[in-house]
Amino acid sequence: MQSADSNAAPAHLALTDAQRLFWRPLPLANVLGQSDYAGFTVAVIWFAITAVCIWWAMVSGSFNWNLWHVDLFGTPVVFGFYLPWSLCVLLVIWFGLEWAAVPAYLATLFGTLHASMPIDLAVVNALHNPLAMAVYFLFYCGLHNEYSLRSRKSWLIFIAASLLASIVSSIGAFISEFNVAVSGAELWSNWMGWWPNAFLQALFIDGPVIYLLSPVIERAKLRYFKRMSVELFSMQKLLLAVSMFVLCLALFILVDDRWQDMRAHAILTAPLSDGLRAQIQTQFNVQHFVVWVLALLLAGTSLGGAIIAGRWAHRLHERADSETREVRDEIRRSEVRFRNFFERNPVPMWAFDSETGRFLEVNPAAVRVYGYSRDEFLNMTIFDPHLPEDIQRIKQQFKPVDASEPFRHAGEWRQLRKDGSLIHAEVHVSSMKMDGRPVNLALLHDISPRKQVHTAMEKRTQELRILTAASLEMAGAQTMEQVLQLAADRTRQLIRANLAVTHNWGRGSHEQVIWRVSLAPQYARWADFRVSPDGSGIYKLVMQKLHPVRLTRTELLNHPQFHGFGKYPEKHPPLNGLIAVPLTTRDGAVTGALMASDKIDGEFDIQDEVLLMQLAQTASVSLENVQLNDALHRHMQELEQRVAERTQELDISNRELDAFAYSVAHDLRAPLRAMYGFANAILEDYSSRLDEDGRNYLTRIVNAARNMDLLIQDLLAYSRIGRAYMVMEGVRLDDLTEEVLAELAPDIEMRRAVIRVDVPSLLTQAHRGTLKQVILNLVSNAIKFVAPGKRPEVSIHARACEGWVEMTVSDNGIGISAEHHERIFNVFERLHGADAYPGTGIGLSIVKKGLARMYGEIHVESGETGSTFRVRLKEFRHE
Amino acid sequence: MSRNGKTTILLAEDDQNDVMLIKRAFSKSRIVNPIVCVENGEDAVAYLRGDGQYAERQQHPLPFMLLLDLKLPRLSGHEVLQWLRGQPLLKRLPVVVLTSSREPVDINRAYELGANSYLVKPVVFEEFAALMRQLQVYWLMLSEQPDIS
Repeated sequence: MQSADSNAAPAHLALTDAQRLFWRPLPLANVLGQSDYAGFTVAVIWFAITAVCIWWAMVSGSFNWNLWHVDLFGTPVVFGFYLPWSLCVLLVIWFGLEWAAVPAYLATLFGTLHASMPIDLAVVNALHNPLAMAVYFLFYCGLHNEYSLRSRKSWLIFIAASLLASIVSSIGAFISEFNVAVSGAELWSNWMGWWPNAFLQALFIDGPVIYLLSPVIERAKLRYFKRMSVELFSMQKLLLAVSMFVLCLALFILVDDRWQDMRAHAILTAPLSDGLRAQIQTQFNVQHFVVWVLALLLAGTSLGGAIIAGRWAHRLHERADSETREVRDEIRRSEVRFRNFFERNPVPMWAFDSETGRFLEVNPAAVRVYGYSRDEFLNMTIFDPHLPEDIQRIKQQFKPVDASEPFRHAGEWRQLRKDGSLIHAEVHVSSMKMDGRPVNLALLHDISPRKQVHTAMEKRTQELRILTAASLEMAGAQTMEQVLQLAADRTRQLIRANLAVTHNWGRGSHEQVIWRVSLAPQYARWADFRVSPDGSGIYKLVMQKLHPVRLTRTELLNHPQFHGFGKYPEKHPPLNGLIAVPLTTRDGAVTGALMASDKIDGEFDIQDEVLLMQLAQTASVSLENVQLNDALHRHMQELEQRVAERTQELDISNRELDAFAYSVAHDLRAPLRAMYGFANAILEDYSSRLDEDGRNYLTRIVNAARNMDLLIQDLLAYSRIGRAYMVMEGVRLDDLTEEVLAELAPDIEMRRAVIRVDVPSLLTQAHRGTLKQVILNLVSNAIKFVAPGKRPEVSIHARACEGWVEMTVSDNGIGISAEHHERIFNVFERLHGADAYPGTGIGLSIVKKGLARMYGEIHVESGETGSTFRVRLKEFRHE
Repeated sequence: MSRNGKTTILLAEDDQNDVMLIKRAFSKSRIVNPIVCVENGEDAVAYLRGDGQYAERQQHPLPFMLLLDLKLPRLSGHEVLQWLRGQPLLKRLPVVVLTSSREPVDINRAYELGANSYLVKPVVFEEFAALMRQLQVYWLMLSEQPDIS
């Protein structure tokens, strides 16, 4: 193959124009042996051309219209148009030597015979035009150049070939002379007219025709005929051409000899001296001898050359043959390999026309997988085994392409087997051209198993999703009815049934059974159907068994226990098969069942059973939870009620306590006041009438009454501190201390106590009144419990410490021994007689209780002398 | 003494001991205002309204002040106070609560219902007498009296 020239042809042609228009003969034998329409047509045309040529040669002598008398370089010549010449030039260039040589020879032969030439001369004479054709042949075969006259070189070759061929052709002028016995001048004139006539005719008639029609002719040759190697062809025909050429030379020489012979006879008939006659005779004899020797040498040389050339040709032919055979074998092997690849491939393969989609070939794997026979396939298009909705996409996917391309992934497709079942195929497709048509080769991998796994996984995921959703919903259900409804709905969804029923009969009788139904939308008209299960029939079967029950439609209808619905034949939705799994408690008792019927597709299978058991498990737990929740709820309500009752009782007793305290405050003090008042009245009004003892007793009554009043007041204060509502606020310790000291001022002055105060301005979180009472009690105690005659010394300190405020009240008093440190805070706890240290024994109790109410605490440190009371309260923080 | 001539003190007190002690404290403190006693809440209300046996105002004149015990039979002191503060003119009558209770509930309730003062009866007579003296000075001599009839 040669690379394309700059004037490259359109891409859709397999060969470029330049490559086409190289001289490429078409052996006549091949064409005649090609038993098809094209071969026949061409053969007929050729025979017709041959006939036309013969006819023209025979009648052209009578045509006067195409004869022109011209004076050429002083010689008068006649020019005329000879059709066979032009036709044969075209034939030799377009098809080959034999195509041209036969009509050329026959035309001249019949033409000269018609003109009364003796047959021996005519046979020889007719050779001149085939010889001219051989010249063309030698030129184009030897130079192997483009012939279409598209280039200057092409033109030069054509002109040179035409000139030489014309001259060779003109040999005929000499031969015809023998017949008509013309003079030498006439012969010269004849020859001078012959070759330019032929040359110009070739140049101006054949040249344009070749230029215009060659592309068409070559395209037709390429399309309808097998091509033949130019080289091989050339060697075969070279022998013939060379032989003809040598024959031509020999003829010229022999013709010249004959002509000289004739001249000699003419001279010898003239009156000459015998010496001169003998000399001339000798001269002619020598010339004869030389000519014959020359002719024999030429013949011998040509014969030898022909033999050598023939052997070369033979060898070349053999080599070409073997090469061709090898190529053919290689092609055959390659075809066999491809066949094997195609036929034995376990992967289905289709070859189809990219434009029409028609199957061109399928392999046995495709037949096996798709179920169509090969013949059925070949009558189908690739659209047939696809789903209608995919066809548009397929058309887009398999657009015909001009260029060949390797296999590429062409997606996954759903295809139909002959039996109508679906197959998922992953398709790879390759494009190519076969005989000028775009063809696709498709490899089809059956990925249905992969798809099935994928589908199964999706189904499993969906089931898990439903189970999870069911589990979440049931966990949130409040009542058993809700759980049962959810379980029924999810049962239907999970195993794709049109009808689902859930029951819970608990551990009790069937009167207490609760149940819920879930129906597919198309069964909505049975939504009102309510038949409470009575524990007989098929229910009994389910109830008795701890295991799931699964029946096909037939099994269900034939089951001896299935009669319950028989009572309502028109009222219930269709019962196609049955699946039922028990609802069980944790201790294994069967308390209900999930039942479903009428599966959307097919019968219930073991998978449905397993799924339903999982759902039943969830439902069972949820049912138990709901029951437990109810119990818990009831229990809590009872507890709440009991708490409310207790609280009410407590309120009542609190109110009684308040009333009691009120009575104490009011009623108990009233008689005291009377005792004191009237004793006092006696002491004041009747003092003079009493003796010392009487006055002493009355004084004791007065004092006792006063003490009792203090006692009651302290008790009430203590009680109030325990019960009162306290608002905690920020209380400034320094202000409060000052207030307390001011209140105690008379006491302090009376006992001449020394008070040291070191209280910074700290804010504590406290109830002001209570805290004041606390400090008051502590300081008054510090002043009070001092050994007689000793001057009280009291130190009051306060400091902040890590969110707390600590206040200490220290004295130089009589001290408290360690074993009493706890007791002193008890009510009425007194360590000393009332005479020595008067008091009610409630002061420290109030302190402790008050601090406790304010989230504070108190500690005492004391020994032989002096006590320190340490009070801790929370520091006040602005929120 | 009193600018509008009302000098009577109405004492609502069921405990006769206390009545005697109050009267004694008055006399000890040389308070000469007449004291009229009623023994229960209903009588207090009847007296103030001039009902029944108290219809004759000459004999049972309107007081310039009410000394009110809280724990009274039939109608409690609080109830009497509540009624009183609901009357068109009588509501202006100064009321001094004189009781044994120091309970915050009682105290707060009394002031809520419009008591002018809340005094706790001291057990010690001297203190009692001093209290009465101060009461007389404050309400009779220092304070202006409203019109109540």
